[in-house]
Amino acid sequence: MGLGGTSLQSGLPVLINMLFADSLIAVGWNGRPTPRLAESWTWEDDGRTLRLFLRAGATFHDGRPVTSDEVLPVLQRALKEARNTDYFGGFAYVESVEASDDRTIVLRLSRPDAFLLNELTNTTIVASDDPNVGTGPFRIVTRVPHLEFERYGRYYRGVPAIERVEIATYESQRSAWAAMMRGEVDMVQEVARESVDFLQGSSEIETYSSLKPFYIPLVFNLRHPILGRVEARRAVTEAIDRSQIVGDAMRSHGRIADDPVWPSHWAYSTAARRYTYNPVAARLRLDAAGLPIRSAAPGQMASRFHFTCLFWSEDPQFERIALLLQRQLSDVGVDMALEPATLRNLIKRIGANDFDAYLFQVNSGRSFDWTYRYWHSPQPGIPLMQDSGYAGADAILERLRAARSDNETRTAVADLQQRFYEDAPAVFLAWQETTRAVDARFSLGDRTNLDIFANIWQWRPVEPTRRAAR
Amino acid sequence: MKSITSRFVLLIVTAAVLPLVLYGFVSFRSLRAGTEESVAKGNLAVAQQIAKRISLYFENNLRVLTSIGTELRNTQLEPWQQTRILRNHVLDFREFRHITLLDAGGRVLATSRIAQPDADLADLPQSGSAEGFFVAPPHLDSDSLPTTTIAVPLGGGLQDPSWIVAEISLEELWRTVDSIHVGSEGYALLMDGSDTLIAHGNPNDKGLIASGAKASESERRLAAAMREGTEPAPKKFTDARGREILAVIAQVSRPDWTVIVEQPTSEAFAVYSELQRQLIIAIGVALLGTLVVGWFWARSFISRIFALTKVTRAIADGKLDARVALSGNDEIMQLGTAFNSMTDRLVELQEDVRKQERQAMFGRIAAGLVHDLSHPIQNIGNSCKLIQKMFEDAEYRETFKRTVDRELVIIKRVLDDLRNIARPIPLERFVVDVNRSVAESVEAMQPHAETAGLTLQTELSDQPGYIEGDVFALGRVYRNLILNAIQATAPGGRIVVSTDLHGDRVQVRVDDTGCGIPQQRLGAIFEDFMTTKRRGLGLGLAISKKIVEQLGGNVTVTSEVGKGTTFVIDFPRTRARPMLVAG
Repeated sequence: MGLGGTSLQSGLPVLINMLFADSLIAVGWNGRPTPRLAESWTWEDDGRTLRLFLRAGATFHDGRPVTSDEVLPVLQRALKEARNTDYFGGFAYVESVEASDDRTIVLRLSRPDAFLLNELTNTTIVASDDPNVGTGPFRIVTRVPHLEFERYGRYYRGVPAIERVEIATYESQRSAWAAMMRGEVDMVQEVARESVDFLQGSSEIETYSSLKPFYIPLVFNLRHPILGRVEARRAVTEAIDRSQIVGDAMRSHGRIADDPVWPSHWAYSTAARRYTYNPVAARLRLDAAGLPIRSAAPGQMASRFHFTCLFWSEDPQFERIALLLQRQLSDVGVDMALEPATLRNLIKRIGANDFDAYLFQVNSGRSFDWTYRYWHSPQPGIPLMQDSGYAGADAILERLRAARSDNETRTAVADLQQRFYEDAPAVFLAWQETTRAVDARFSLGDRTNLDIFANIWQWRPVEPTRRAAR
Repeated sequence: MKSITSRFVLLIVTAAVLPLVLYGFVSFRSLRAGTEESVAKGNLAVAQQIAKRISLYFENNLRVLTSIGTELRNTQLEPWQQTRILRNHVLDFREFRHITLLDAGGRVLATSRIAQPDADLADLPQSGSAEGFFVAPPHLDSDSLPTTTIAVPLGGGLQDPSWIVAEISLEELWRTVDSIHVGSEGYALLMDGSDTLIAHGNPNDKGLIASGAKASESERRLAAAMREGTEPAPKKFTDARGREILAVIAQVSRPDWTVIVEQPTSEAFAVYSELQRQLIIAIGVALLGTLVVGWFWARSFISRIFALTKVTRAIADGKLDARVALSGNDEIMQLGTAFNSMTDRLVELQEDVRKQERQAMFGRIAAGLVHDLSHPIQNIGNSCKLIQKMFEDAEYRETFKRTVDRELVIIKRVLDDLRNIARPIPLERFVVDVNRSVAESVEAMQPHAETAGLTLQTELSDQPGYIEGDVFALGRVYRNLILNAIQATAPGGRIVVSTDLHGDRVQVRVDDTGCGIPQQRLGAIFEDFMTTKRRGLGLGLAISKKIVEQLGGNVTVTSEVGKGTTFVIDFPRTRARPMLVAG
C-alpha cells in the first residue's frame, strides 16, 4: 500500500507515528482517553498520583515485551525534554516517574493535572536503546529512498491485513493526487474534494471527510485601542457572516466555530450562547460604543476604526477568507486592511506581538491542553504561543486543568464557552475539514474514530493486493 | 439426393430464399447508413451546443472583465476604491479568483490580490490577438482544480493601452462537460489549441486531466482537420480499450478550443443493431418457415413417388402382392391407383400364363409319355396277342420273354427319368478316367453316327484327367449330348468330342456342325420338358445337367444358327487315381 502526502502538512508525521509507535494512551474522537499500551490507569491521592498498568502481551518490534523497565526511560526522557523547554506541557507538574513492578508505572504530581493523560498520548513508546524499534502495527523496513514499513505480526491489537506501507512525499497536493490517479499510491493524505469529484472518474477512489482539530480564528490583539474593547470585539463578531466564510471561502468544507472547544468533545455544551450574524446589531453596538463612521484621510476608507489583519498568504483559502472579512466589516464601517505574510513571518510577527489582528489556523486538539496553551495568558511554565493580551479565561482554564471528574470538566467547559462568548479574544470563524482519498479496494474497518488514520492497522484489501490498473 | 429433391430445393431457394436474403441485404445497408447519419447529426448538435455554451461562458466573462476594466479606467476612483471594486467582483463572481488592472507598461494599477499579483504583462501578446483577448493554456492549480488566465485589452489606442487580467476558475467547464451524456456511454471532451485535454466526460479517462495528457492520436487528427478548414466528417476509430468510437467535433468560437463528442458505436448504433437483429430474426424465421413448409410439402410429394418406386421394385423382384398406398386426392394418388390396378391385372395375366404353361407342359409330358410308353406297351400288347396263339412254340415263348423284358426296361427307364427329374439322381462316385469314359461313349455311338452319315471323332488330352464320378451316369450324359448332336446335324456333318485339362478342372466338349440353336432358346435349353422334337419328354439335357451338377461340375452351351453348337462340361479334377482291378 502506498501513501502520498506533502511534507508541508503536519499530519504526515502524525500518520508515521500511528504506523510505527503506539503511546500509552490515545485520545478518541470525542476527546476521551482510550487505552493503548497502558490497558488501564487510576488516579490516586486526590489526583496527585497516576498509576498506569501496562498491557500484557504488548511487544516491541524486536520481540521484547513492553515492560516498565522499557517504558520508564522513555517517560523520563520525555519529562527531561519537556523541562528543557519553556513549556512543560502535561508534564509540568510531574515530580517523579517510577516503576512499581514490571507492568506498573507510577507518576507522582505536585498537583492534579488533567492534561497529563493528553501529554501521554503525545509520547510514543519506542525502544530506549534503538529509536527504530517501535511498538506500532508496522515496523520500519527502510528510510531510504523513502519510508517503508512492514506489518508487525505480533501487534497486540491484531495483525494488520496490509503487508507493507510505503510513504511517498510530493511537492504539492496536486502532485500527490496525480500520483494516485496514476495508481502509484493508494492513499493521499489530503485532497481537495472538488478535484476528487471531478477527476475520480471510474478510478474507484473513496474520499473520507472529517473535521480537523484545527479552527480558523480572527485573533485580536487586545492591546489595540479599539480591539481591546469588548464591545468592539462583540460588534466585529456580529458583523461577520461565518456561514458565508464557510460556504464561499471554504467551499462548505468546514463548520462554523463558536469557540475553540472541539465540537465533538464529550463535554461540549450545545447550550452555550452563540453569536449570530447581525450587521444591524453590529452597527448599533459600535454606535453605542462611541465608534461612529468618520471621514477618512485621503487614500483611506471612511470608517469607525481601522486595523490591519495579517493573514497566511501561502494558502489561497486564507486570502479569500480575508477578502470576505474585509468586505463584511466594511459593511458595518470597520476598515480592516489586509497584510499578507508567509508562514514564517506570520509566526514571527505573532510571537513578537507585532499585529493588530491575524487570520490563521490554530490547533485545538481533541482535548484542552492546546486551548489552554493558546488562550492562557503567559505565565511561568506557560510560555507564549501567542500573546494577544487576553487573560479573560485564565481562571477557567486552570479549573479545566485541575478537573478530576467528568462533572468538573463539563462545568469548566461550559464556563469556558460562556467566557468566550462574553469576552471573545477572537472571532472563531470555522473548523476546517480534511478530505483523505483512499483506493476503494481497501475496507477501512472500524469508523468510530472519524479520522481514518486512527485505525489504519485495521484496513484490509477487499480484493488481492495489486496496483490498480489505470 | 434424388434429382427431383434437388429440383425442389432449387425451386424453394430461388423462389423464397434468394429474394428474402436480397431484401435483407438491401435493408441492412440502407438502415445502417440512415442510422449512422442520424446519430452523427445528433451528436454533432450536442457538440455544437457545448461549444456554444463554452463560448458564451467566455463571452460573459470577457464582458464582465471589459466592463470592470472600462469602469475603472473611466472613473476617477482612488486606488483603494478600485482595489475594493476588484475584490468585490472576485467575491461576487466565484469564477474570478483574481483580477488585476495593468497599464501598458505592465504596472499594476489595481488588483484584487492582497499579495503580489501574478499577472505579468510580459506573458501577454504585445500586439493583442486576433480574437481580441488572450487565454493562457489551462492548468491545474495546487488543489488540482482547473484554472486559466484571461487578458483583455482595454483599448485606449496607442495613447493608453491597458489590460485587465483575470485568473478564472474553469470548474464550470468541468461541470458542463461532465453533464453531457450521450446515451449511457457517450461523453464529451474539451481540448485546447495544443490538443491538451482540459475536461473529459469519460470516467475512465479523467486521470488524463490530472496528468496533463494530450488527446489521443485520432482525436488530434480530427481537430487538425477542423483547424485546416476542412469540414471533418464524423470519424470512427478504435480507442485504447479496443472499442469502436464514433466521434464528432465542434469548434469553440472563443477561445480556440475544441469539443469532441464520442460515443461507442455499439451504443450509438444500438437502434440499428437492434433493428438489424430483429430483421435477421424475421428473415430467418421466414426462411425457416419457408424451408419447413417446403420440406414437408416436398416430402409428402416425393415420398409418394418413392413409395411408388419401392413397390415397383418389389414387383420387379417378384413380390406381386406388393401394392402402393398413397394418400391425397391428386394426380399422384391417381397414378398410384392406376399402378395398383395394373399390378392386379399383371397378377391375373401371370396366373393365366402359368396355367397355360402348366397345360402346355402337361400336354407335352403327356405326349412324351404317350410317345415313349405307347410303343413298348404296344409291343407288349402285340406280343401278348401272339403268345396266345403261339404258346406252344417254345422259341416264340423265348422271343416273347425277351420282348416283354426289353420293353419293360424301356418303360422303367422312362418312369425312372420322370422320377429322377424331381429328386437327386443316385450316383456312385469312383475315380473315373475322363478320356477313357469319353472314348467308350463315342465308340458306343459310332454306329448311330454312321447311320446318320456323320463323322464322329474324339480329340483327347495328352494327359489323363481324373474326376470323381459315376461311370454309367457320365456315359449317359456323353451319349445324350452326342445323340443330340447327331440329331441336329445334317448328313455329311461332323461331331467332335474332346477333353482338356485346365488347372484343376477337366473339360469335355461336344462340338457339332449342326443347325444351331437360336439364342432366345439357349437359356431354357436345360429346363425340364424342354424339347423341340415332336416326340419325347424333353428331359435328356435336364437330367444331364443335373448329373453334371451333382458331380460338382457345370455345363454350358454356345450355338450359332446354321453353324453348329458346342456343349462344354467341366468337372473338378481329382488327384486320386482309379483302382486297378486284377484280371
